[in-house]
Amino acid sequence: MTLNQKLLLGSGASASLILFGGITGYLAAGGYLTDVIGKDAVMSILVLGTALGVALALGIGLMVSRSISGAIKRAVGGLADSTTQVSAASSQVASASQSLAEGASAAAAAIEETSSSLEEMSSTTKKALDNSTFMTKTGDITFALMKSSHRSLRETDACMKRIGESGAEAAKIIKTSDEIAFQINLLALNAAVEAARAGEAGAGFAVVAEEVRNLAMRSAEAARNTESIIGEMTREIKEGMALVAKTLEEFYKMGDEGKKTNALIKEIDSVMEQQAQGIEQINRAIAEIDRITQQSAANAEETASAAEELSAQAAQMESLVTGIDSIIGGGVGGVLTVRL
Amino acid sequence: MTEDKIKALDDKIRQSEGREGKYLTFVLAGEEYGIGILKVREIIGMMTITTVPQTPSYVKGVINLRGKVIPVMDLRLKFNMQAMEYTERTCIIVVEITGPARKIPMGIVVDSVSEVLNIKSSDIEETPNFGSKLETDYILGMAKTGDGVKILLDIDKVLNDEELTALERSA
Amino acid sequence: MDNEKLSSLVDRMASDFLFLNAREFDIPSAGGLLNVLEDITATADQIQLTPARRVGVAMNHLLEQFIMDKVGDRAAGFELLEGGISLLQEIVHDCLQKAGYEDDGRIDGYLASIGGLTGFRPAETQDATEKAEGAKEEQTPTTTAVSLQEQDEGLLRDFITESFEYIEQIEVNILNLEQNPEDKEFINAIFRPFHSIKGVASFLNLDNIRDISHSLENLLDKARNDELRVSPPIIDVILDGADALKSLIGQVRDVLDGKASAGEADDLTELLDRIHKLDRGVETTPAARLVGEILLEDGMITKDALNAGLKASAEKPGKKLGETLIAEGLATPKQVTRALRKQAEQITDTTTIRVDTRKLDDMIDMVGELVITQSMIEQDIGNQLTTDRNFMRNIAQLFRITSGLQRVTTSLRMIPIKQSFQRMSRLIRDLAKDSGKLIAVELVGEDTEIDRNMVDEIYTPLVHLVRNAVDHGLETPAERLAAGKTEKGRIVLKAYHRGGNIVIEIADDGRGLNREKILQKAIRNNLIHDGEGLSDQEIYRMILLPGLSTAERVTDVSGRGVGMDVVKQAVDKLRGKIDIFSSPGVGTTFTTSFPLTMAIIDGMIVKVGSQRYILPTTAIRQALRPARESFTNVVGRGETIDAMGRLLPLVRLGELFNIETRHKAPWEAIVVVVEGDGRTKGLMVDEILGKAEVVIKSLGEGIKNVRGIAGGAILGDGQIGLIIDPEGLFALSESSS
Repeated sequence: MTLNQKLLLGSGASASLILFGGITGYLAAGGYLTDVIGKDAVMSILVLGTALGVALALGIGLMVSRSISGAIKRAVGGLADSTTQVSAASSQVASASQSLAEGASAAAAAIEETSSSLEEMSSTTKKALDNSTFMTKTGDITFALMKSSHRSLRETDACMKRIGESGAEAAKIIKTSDEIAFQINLLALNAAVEAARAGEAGAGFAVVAEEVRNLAMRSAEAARNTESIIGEMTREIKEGMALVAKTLEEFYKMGDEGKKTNALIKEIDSVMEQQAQGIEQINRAIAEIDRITQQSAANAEETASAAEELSAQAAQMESLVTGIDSIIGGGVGGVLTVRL
Repeated sequence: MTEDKIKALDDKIRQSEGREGKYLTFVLAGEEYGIGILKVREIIGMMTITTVPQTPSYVKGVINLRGKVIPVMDLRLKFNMQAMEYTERTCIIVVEITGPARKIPMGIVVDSVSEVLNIKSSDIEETPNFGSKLETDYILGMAKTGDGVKILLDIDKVLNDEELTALERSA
Repeated sequence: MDNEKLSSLVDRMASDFLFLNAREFDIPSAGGLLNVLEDITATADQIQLTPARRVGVAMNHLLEQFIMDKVGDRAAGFELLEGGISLLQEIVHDCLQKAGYEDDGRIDGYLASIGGLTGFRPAETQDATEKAEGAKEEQTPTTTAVSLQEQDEGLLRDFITESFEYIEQIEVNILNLEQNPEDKEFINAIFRPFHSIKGVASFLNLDNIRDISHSLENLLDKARNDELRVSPPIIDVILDGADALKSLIGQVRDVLDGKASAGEADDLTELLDRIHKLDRGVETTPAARLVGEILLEDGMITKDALNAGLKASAEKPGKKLGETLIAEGLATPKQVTRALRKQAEQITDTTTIRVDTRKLDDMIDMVGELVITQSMIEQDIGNQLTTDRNFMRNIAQLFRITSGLQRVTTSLRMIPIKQSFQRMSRLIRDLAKDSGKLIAVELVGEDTEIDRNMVDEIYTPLVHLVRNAVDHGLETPAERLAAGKTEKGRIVLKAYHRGGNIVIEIADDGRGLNREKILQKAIRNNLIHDGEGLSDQEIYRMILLPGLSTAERVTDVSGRGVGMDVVKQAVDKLRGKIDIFSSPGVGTTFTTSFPLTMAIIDGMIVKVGSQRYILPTTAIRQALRPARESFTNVVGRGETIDAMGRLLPLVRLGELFNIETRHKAPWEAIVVVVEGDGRTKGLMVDEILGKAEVVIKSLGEGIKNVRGIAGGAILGDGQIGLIIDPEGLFALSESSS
């Protein structure tokens, strides 16, 4: 059993004896006496009980503390020493921490600056990348469009050819109908000849023959007109077909160039992407650095403040030690004083 | 009796207006010609002509007209005009020329046939002197019509007389 | 029979009359009635129906008065006419029903009333029968003159002018009718003027004029109603009639002008007889000739014999001419029966119709085209692999019909050779008479048919052969008797078909050909050197060579120096053949063979450049592709080819006809050895396309007689190929080289 424990036991036992006495008294008196003699009488009993208890406790305590104060005196002296040492050390720590915190702070500021520059760069790169991606996409779309327009062109060409063929077919039909008209014309003329030979009897028939001939002529005329129109059409179709062929040829050239452009754009795009990725990595690294720096600064700060706290505590301890020393009676005060 | 007299009178009138009537017109080297319709038997498109050797150049040969063999003359060549390649418009007019015994069918090749025209005697003028282009003997007259002048041919004279005998001589 | 005819005539008159009325009763309608009335009177006369005749004559007078406008009371006259017609109807009706008319005096009453109106004296009619009988012969100038004086001169003058115009019309139209005997228009055109002349002549009492025009009018009426065919005799008689009318009318005019005292009148009996004969002959036996005529024409009997027979026949009425001829020994029963059979055939000829040959040719042309079209369709069907059975069956049927049609059309032109044989037998008879020889002619196979056009073509060579047989073949009766033969020589004309040809044999039983004489003459004329190794046939054939006539003397019948080579040429021209068989003392037979028709030719189609030509197969000897060595070019003389063991002149057809040929060298081309006109040449063509039977067509009147070309033919594809005439071609090649 240590001193303090003995102390504590002693004081505690005394206190608890006092308390016990008091309480027992109180309780006994309070409950029982209230019933027997009245309240005022109980109160007066209580105060007399307490005062008796305290006086008993103090007496016991004084005897216990006279027994342990020597040991304490020796402990306080050691304490005063180490407190002094702690105080010195903590002052050193505090100052070092202070300068550390200051450095970290400066680094953090620099990193901040870098980071923001990087941020800016990253966003530009991103924008460039976005553009290049868009361009690639546009290139693809262009290519797809080119393909489809090529198809359309091819179809146009085929269509033109078909129209041309139909035109030729129509021309053939027109030729046939012209031929038929010619034959009808001949027939009508023959009919007119026959009618004329029939004399008066053929007069009516001659009129019919003439009508038929007129119709044949008109039909031939119509056929001729149609023929010329079809001829014109055929010619224009031919022209159109030539144009389509030319366009196709140019289109093929354009397609080739487009393909090249597209490839280049893709290349650029991929380079840009790599670049963006690099920047991103840098960004992330800087952020890490920044974080660490911040943490260091915070740590330094904390250390400094802890050191100061420590030094403050040391000072307080010194004073406490002095206090104790004075309580116990000297010897150590000097130390404390030196220390403080 | 009176009827006969009227008839005789009619005949006379008809004779004086003998050229009036219907004509089949056709084109030859850009010029319009006419043949009296009663001389025409029929008009046919061009068909294969079998050449007959030992005949004048204007005798193109013979054709098969529904089983009948009929000689064909090229009127261009007959009139000493430039020969022309036959087209699909080229026609053969089968005419009946008056032979010594009976009517002789004969084909004439023309550039194209035009129409049957009724020509009034008042529209027919005497043949002006042509120079050497066409023997005026062949021509009945010149008919003025709405769209120009038609040369009315006496096809009998064109293909008959000395021509036929010449044909036989050459034959 | 005649009662009925009378009844129908009366009915016709009645119905004609129904449409008339008194006021409009003019000359033409009166004339019409007059015509019918005349027929009625004549018929009544024929059947001796006196009541009808009496009424008819009276009405006739009344009508004539009407026409001459001498009836005062026209209405009464018209009523009288009506009464007369009903009287006639009654008489005729009674005759038909009650077998006789009972005269109750009404006729006399009627006649009296006509007399009252016109001064008609019924007494005149009493001898009408005699007058009608004698009317035709009785025409004397005096009657003409007398009657003329009674006529109104104006009327007569008009009649004369009109009649001359009418006759002119008749003359014009009769010529047309001769060209187109079937044309009713022309018959009508002649009928009408005759009718008009008759009508007027009748009321002008120009009886002879009326009689002639009336007879001719009847004749024409029959022709118009197809009861009679317009034949050359009819045309002749009409022309003669017109002439007679002209002269009669001329006489009338002369009398009017007082120029001639109406002198002698022409004898019109003969003309009227002819007209009536034609008229009647047709009525009983249409278009038939009399037995006597047939016999005469066939040379069975002579004209003298016929006349004798006719005379004998006339003496014994009831006996027919044929019987008489046999009885009198003028003809054999065989000849008479044959003639009778022919007569019967002629009557059955009415089932035939005459068709214009041009129409026939057109039809044959059309059928030719049909056949060509058919073969084209045949090809098309072959290309199409149609399986429609119904269609195929119908097509097959169509093809059968087409080929049948083609057969029929080709046979349309065919006629029996009979006519030619008859002409020749007549000729033989005439020649026999001239030369004093006795000849019997025998005809065999007269019904053998041959193309109508061939008939005329073969006639000339046949006549030549017949003449030769009569003149040289047969001996005189004396010679024959001396040779122990019958006095009468015999010539047999025989025709038959063999292998698409008609063979005509002319055989005599004369002295036969003199082999030695022919041989000598041939040697003398440098035709041959000697008779070594020549068969009899070959020697006999020599008489067909130019300048070899064996006759010692030149007669007017044959042997005029032209000889038999003319026959040979003519036969060759007709693509025929001639063979001679002869044995001395027994006779000579000339066997000629001709294609049935000149219209079809068996030919080889050859190609020269783009042109096709047809070579007559009969002219082709051989076709070959010559070896290079066989060709020689004799400078200045021409090219030759060694073929058939001879050097033949080479004729380049392309060069001759100015055609671009495919082959230039003869050894690349084909050479056809062609014979013609006794010459043989090699004809160079590009290729031979095949054989074909083609219908020969003229190249048209415009270009006939092209040298070297015999005509054109329509080939299987409808195009025309020209037919080569080898002789003409040879001549052409010689003149051009």
